Amino acid sequence: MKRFWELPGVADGQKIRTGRILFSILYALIISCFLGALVAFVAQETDSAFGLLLAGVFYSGLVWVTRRGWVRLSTFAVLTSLLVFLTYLLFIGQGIHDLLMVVYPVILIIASLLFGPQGFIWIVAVTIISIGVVVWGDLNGLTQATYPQLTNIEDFFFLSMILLFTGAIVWLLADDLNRNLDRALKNEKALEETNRQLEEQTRTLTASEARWRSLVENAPDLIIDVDRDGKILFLNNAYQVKLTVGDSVFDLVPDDQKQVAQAALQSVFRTGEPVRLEFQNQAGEGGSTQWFATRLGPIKQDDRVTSVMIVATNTTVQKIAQENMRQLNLELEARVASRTTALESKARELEAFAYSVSHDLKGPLRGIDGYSLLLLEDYADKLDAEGAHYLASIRKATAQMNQLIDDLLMYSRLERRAFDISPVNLQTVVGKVLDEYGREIALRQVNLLVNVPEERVQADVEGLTQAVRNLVDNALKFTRAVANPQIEIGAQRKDKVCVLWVKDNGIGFDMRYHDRIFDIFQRLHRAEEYPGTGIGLALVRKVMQNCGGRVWAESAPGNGAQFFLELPV
Amino acid sequence: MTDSIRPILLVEDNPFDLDLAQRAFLKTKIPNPIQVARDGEEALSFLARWEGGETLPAFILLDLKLPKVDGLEVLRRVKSHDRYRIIPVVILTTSTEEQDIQSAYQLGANSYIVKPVDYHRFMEVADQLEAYWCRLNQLLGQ
Repeated sequence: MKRFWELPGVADGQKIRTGRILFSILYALIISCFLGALVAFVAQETDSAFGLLLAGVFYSGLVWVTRRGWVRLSTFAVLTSLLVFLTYLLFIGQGIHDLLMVVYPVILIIASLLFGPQGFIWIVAVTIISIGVVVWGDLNGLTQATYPQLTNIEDFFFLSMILLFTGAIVWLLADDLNRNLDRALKNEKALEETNRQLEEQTRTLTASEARWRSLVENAPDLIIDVDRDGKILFLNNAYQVKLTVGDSVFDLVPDDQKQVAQAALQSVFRTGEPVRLEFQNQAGEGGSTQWFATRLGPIKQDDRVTSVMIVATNTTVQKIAQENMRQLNLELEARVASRTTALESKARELEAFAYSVSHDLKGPLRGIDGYSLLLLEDYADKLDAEGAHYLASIRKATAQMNQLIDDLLMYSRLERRAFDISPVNLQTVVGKVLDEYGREIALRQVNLLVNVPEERVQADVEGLTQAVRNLVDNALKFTRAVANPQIEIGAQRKDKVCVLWVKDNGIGFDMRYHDRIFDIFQRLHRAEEYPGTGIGLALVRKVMQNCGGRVWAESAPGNGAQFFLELPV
Repeated sequence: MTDSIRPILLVEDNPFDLDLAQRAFLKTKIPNPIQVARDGEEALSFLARWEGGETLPAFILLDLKLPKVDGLEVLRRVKSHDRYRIIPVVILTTSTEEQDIQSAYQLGANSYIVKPVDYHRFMEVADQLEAYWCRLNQLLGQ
């Protein structure tokens, strides 16, 4: 049935609506015409029956035209036919003249409904045409008018007034109607758009929901949504928990920790702030302890906590690893402590040994020196020159050994002494050392050039003083054979370090031996030429290492030597 | 007995050092007799001897490394005694350890001398000791 009112292939809503009205009118007219024709045929009014049959066919044709989509053309044709018929009745109708006058506005309204605001213009044109058609028919004797042809001026005047008046009202009404219709259409469109968007949103939401659900259900952690009383609203399948929706989440918590758990849940509901808790139970394999790191996060709606999402992670593995690590650390610390104790006792032994060396080695040495001197002094008359020489040599050797023991002791003390690194004024250190050697420098008429600014370096003051002392001592020693001995001491700041140098014009050394001279007991000269123990420069290097600095030298045989000490400032 | 011939008490275990010290004092030609204690215990026995009326020494030369009772203990006992604490005690030792020096002074040592290996220098020391602790104090005593 529905398809009788449809316009195939037409999308315009307005046209479809007009079409529906038009179809209704056309079907009514067709049925009326054919029924009228049947009645007239039975009453043997052959002319009328024939005319009605024609009209029925005409309207059937219009149905076809309408279905083609030519709605306006079809409407126009229907209206024209109706008006022609009406005007015809107006002119020839007997006794229904005044009544017919009223039908015009009705048709006008129908036309306006069908055509919209333009309907008025259409209908005027159609009316004129219909009147023309009727007049033409009357003049040609096709009709037998009761009234004289075209004489009723009054009728025309009224007709015109009615047309104008009704037309104006209809115009206004139709305009308003159409505007409302437009608005309704627009609203409909907007509604459709909103619907479309809603559908889209629903689709997106569904997809999102599916994603989250999958995420939660496949999460390795236990996720539970609970209400204020701890009743489970939702939970996933992690850890094979035996509870279901509606159970109390506190059934999962061991008795001794229930109170803490309840307080935490209430706190989240009250403050809206997340809480972290740690639980442990004995539900592990063979009743072993399991740890759970638990986070309670609020789910809010309009700033009100509606439920709390609990996420619990089994941290047993980490816990055990941590505990193992702690144990290992403890063991390690214990081992370090015991090693340190062992080392400390070793160091004490060494100290005792060094002390013993100083005490015990020097004892016999004092004896040798003392008795050889007594022999030399008290028995001088009984000794010949050679004997005296022997004794003098013994005493020289004794002195040398004494020096060696002293240097060794100093070196070993440097090894075990705690270095006190603090800001040291280079000028003060150099001044102090030069004071010690003042007599020798003056006696030997050494040309001394000192240019050390007040630079502060980071060093152990005692160690550094000893290092500078050794360098000055070396400079004095190796210039002994030079005619006009010169020693230059200077210092210069270079970015983050300060370099102090001691330069002499002594015998110098071959740079091939540069590294060896800083090794302990390494000597480049024979003892009778330049006495020494081979410890001095080793000690200098030790001090510089301990202070975070370095020592190096530049020299050439016969061209003097320059020693550099570099220290952090 | 007068002050001038008060003895000098030498506490020394090393026979060479003892002999050399005695000879050094001999060479300075001091009149004071020299008493010898060979270990800490023997040194402490002098406390009883002084108790028994023996003349107090002009000064004590005390080594720190001693058998039986060590030098610091001898020093402590002498310096904590009511009457004998006035006896000057000069520490004569090989130790250059800061700790030994400090302990000695804290216990009331009057001087601390490191034994020189060079016998010449030792003789100088002996001379100075005699000059200071015997002659100077004697002057002050008068």
